[in-house]
Amino acid sequence: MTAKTRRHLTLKFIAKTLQTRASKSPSPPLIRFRHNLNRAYRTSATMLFFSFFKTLVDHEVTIELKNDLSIRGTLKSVDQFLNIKLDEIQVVDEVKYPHLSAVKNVFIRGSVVRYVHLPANAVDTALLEDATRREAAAQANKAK
Amino acid sequence: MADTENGTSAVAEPLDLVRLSLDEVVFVKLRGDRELRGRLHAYDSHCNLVLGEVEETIYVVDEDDDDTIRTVKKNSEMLFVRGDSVVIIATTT
Repeated sequence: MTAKTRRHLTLKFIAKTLQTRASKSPSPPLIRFRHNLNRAYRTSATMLFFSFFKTLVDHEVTIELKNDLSIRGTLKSVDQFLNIKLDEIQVVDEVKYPHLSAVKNVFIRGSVVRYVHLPANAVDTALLEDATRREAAAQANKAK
Repeated sequence: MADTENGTSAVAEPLDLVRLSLDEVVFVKLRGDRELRGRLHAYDSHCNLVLGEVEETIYVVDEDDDDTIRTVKKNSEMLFVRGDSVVIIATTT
């Protein structure tokens, strides 16, 4: 199956789902479809920390998990859920947690992260504060 | 709301209080008997944070010593904190 036909099938499926939902409400399916698309776009515009972590790719970070395990490695990629891929990892307290000593790279689910220790020289704090204010303003506009 | 219209410094919702603490030292209480003190550089609606020059305090029960409370302190120059651990963000004066 080509990507195009797959996309076409997905769209068809979404349209059908919306149609079933729309049968309960008066709005026509196409309008609802557009509305949903707009909503998805708007939420994707508020991804401050996603963008922030993308600027830190290829930097050395230490991730502390909620189970107290700390993993140091090179940040390789990040997604919108703040899932993280690390390369050339090293467990900080190797003696206490020997399980990962043979592992080279890991995918960490965003929800199990407690902290990410960052290199301070890789962070432009003034820029970050401005971006935060912009994000806050965007959120405030959205709420209106 | 009247106070949303007179400029960006108005406090209309709880997170506006956090916005006013940007570039100030804040106190953050976390789940798991942890507290942080550091300069707030970024936050979002999930209470994800970036703090600079952070001091972390962890409270642990010392079972060897009659269950007394012991504190462990750690320092970090720049720290991202995931919002689902955050309980309180307070300004320090």
